[in-house]
Amino acid sequence: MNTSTRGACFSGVFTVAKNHGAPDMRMRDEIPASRSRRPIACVTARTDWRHRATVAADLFYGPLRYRPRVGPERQGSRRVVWAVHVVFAMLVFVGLLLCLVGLMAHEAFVRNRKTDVSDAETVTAGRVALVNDHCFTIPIDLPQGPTCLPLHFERDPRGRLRFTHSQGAARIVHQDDTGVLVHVSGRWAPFTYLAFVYVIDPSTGRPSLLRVPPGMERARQAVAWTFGMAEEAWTPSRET
Amino acid sequence: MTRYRMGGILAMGLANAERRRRMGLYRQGDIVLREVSQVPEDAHPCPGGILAYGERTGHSHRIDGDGQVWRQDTRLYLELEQPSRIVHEEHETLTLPRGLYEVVGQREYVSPEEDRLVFD
Repeated sequence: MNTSTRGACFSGVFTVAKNHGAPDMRMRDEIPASRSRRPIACVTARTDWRHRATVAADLFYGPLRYRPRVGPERQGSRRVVWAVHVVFAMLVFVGLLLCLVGLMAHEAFVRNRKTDVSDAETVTAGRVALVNDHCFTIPIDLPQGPTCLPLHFERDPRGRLRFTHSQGAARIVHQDDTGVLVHVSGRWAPFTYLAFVYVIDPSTGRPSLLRVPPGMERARQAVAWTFGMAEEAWTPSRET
Repeated sequence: MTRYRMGGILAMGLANAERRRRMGLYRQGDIVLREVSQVPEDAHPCPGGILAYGERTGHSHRIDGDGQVWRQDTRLYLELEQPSRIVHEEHETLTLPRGLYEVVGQREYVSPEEDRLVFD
């Protein structure tokens, strides 16, 4: 076996290493003729680390048909394999990072939703005023001074409420036959919101928006709270 | 055993539902009249028959007929010896059967320590 050939495969390298030590990594035409005829002389301290690296690479990348010394076209495929590995690792890292950020934001939102202290300390809402059939205004007392938050809404053909545009972000949490539960948040305090229930008087048809404590999840629960009752106890025999 | 236990739970649920149905709940706009079994002993009578009065609009929920209003601190109670009507300038008239009722006004959240009545 010729020990100075650069294109040796895994078995060839292993055989060479077992019989003669590390091969010379230079091309055949770079090796002097006298040395190519004497393969045992190729085992030198200078090339020993390269031999070990080659054996290790063949062991690890054998299943991938890794051929480290077969020519420029194989060198290109090796780069592709590495590029795929790097891109995949970056995607996994970015994905984990996004999951972590999302989890932290969700935890903060849930923590603020469960407690009503932050909401009460940051913002106080005054009596809601009806501007017209499509707009409410909520006076809000901020630490920087009072302001007024308009909420524009409309009803779809099914009779359900929908906010069209507002200064703050109005989100409909729940609506049923008793009313509509609305959360209003804004830039005044991130991760906090004001909770309102939108009800229509059964006899006059006049709409009103009442502020309720944060943490309400259903419109019936909010309406029952405005009368100091539990949700399951809110079963009026007659409403006028 | 399990069947008897389930039967007992079902009977309790039905009894509670029946009790809730019997303890009537009537709403007229922003007040609710909730049927109660008795008026507190330390309540004192209030003349006039007005259940809620709006200072801004001048409208009021009041009794049209015989009835006695009782007050205990901030709580209002209504005692009807016979079926009576509750009237208001804007809302439809509400007819109540005889009985004892607690008058509850609609409230609005201000802060964890404070609520306010929304009646105007």
